[in-house]
Amino acid sequence: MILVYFITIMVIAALLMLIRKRTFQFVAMPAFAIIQVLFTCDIFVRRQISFSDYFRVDALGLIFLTLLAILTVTTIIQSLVYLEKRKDTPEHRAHYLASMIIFIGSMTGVFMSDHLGVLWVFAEATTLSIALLIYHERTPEAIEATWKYIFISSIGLSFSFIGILLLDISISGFHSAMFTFSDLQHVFISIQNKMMLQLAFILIVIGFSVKMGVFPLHTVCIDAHSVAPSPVSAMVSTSLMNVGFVAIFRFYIMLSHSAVAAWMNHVLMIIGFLSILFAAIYLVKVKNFKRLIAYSSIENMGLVALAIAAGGIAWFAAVFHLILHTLVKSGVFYQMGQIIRYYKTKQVYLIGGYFRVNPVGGLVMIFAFIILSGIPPSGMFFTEFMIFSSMFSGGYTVVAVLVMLLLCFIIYTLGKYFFKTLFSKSEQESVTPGEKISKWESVPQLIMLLLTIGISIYPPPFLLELVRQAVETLPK
Amino acid sequence: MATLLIIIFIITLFYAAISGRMFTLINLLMIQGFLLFGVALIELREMNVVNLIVILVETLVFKAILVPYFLKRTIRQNNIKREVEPYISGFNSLIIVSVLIILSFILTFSLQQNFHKVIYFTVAFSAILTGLFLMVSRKKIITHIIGYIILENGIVLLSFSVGNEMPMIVNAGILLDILVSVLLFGFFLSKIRYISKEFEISSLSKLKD
Repeated sequence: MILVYFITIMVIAALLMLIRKRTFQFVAMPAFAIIQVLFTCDIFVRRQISFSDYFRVDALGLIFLTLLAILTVTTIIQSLVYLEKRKDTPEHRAHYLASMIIFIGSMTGVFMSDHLGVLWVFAEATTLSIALLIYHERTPEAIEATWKYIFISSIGLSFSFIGILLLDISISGFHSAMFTFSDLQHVFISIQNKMMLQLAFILIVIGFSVKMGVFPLHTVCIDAHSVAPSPVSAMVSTSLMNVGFVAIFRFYIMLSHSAVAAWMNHVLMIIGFLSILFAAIYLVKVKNFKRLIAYSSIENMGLVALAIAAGGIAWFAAVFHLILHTLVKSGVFYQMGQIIRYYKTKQVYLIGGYFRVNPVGGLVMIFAFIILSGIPPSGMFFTEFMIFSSMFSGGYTVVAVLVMLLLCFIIYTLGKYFFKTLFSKSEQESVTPGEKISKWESVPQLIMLLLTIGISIYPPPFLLELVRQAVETLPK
Repeated sequence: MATLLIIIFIITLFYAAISGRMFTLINLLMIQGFLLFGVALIELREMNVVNLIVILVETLVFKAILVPYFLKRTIRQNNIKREVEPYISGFNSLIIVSVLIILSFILTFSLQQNFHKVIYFTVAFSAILTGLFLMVSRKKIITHIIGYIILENGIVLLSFSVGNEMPMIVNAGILLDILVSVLLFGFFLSKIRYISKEFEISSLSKLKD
């Protein structure tokens, strides 16, 4: 089944490159979305997968695979709208759509891979396939951001690969059957060479921090957000960050029973705190609306890193936080595409009075702000509450208090710009507004946000059970 | 025999630190590719035959022939100046690379693993650190790509020291990823022409807050 899936998407991508007809693109993309959804449903129902040496279906992968399937449908719709409005050449459209398919396919691979090497291969494939997507608008900024993203990301992932090799060296005495996460979890309990594992873990975290968007290499992630087309930004900010999280979390789970467990918590605590600190500092200077929301993503990922470090109930909260964040952020970025299309600028100081232009889109932004800032009924209130309570009980009181102060600051800044966009008089008569935005374009996003609030108020039991299963192999 | 190849490998690192011409650097990459091929041939003999052939062919074709040829072509096509233009002079680079090699020795011995192949580990880490050093100390973007390839060569050497236990399909995937990334670097390098004629890293500084 999985082989069929990968071959099918490669074929669709190749056909899109060869046949550059507009009608074919409008047939192939929905077909791909349907394949993605059907594949996810199949895995969801059967809970098993061929090639079990390399791939595995577990609750963690299943959650993010489902989110990816939802995002695939919405992103493809938004991408087709985006390409229609931009009137690109057929060649550029073909590059965009084919890259998008391979990009989604490689993310699917990451969520399902059980072998350490396979995970790395798919993670690197996401880097390579996103290059043309970031480059799509072909401005000097796009070239710069693409160059920085693929170069820094490749180097970062090389570091991760060194880490994986070091893990391989450290188990050389204890020969296990396969080099997979599920097999190795029991092997690492008996490894005593702490320094080796520490070096390996820190290299792996540095490498995947490009994908997850946390402290050491988050800057290229932000550059990529700010120049990429809005549907692509939505993917980078949600599903690609989930890729980084899944990679780091799988390594964390694997090493959580070993001698370095406490040390890993300290590393993640420092990384999480620094991510939130940098997000708060840079939000003061930010002028580009997309970078503003990108920093908000960095802050959320920092919180998730803190949650992994804090442990206990916070592991549950981390996964749940990511589910909510994925649904909300993608909505915000889709809406962002419409704002940019109307105002023809990303500068925050030139945008204003959006609520009168597009009330439904304005509602999307208001709901998104409420959810992102963690005001009840937002589920992020509960997840952040769980994260902080577990930080207090884990003895990280000082960090928790500092993070709360930084969060207040971040919410203030976000609120300032969100409400300026929505309600302030547009002071720039010089900016000629673009075409009118159809109300119906915002309706799917509104549904997505209401769904988020629904999940927050009444989380479906099967979802809670999945999240619980995802973290059950961690030590109590 | 393998030790001899490894020692030649470390000499190429010193040479890379002082060489002032771009083509010398690329020729060094080619030599490193052949050295890696030799090391793989000697070290990985006990491995599964099909897997071994995949590794040997990919090392020889990609690392020793395809990538150097591609880099030379990129330089010719874009009329990049042939000098390396370092921020740090050749002599100082040599000292820094020596220090990096000593650091790799210290790192290897502090890991306290009973390696039967200490020298592999040390040289691999030296190559990784030298690659990073070349990236930060040279102005041209193409030198960054060369530094990245030296880093990758170090990683390949490290994986040989483990005995390369990855299954064939994973090895093929890894090498393919690296090849595609180098090709993409070349493609986007030629696009940087539209921003700056000099291909220097200082021209990529528009995106910031």
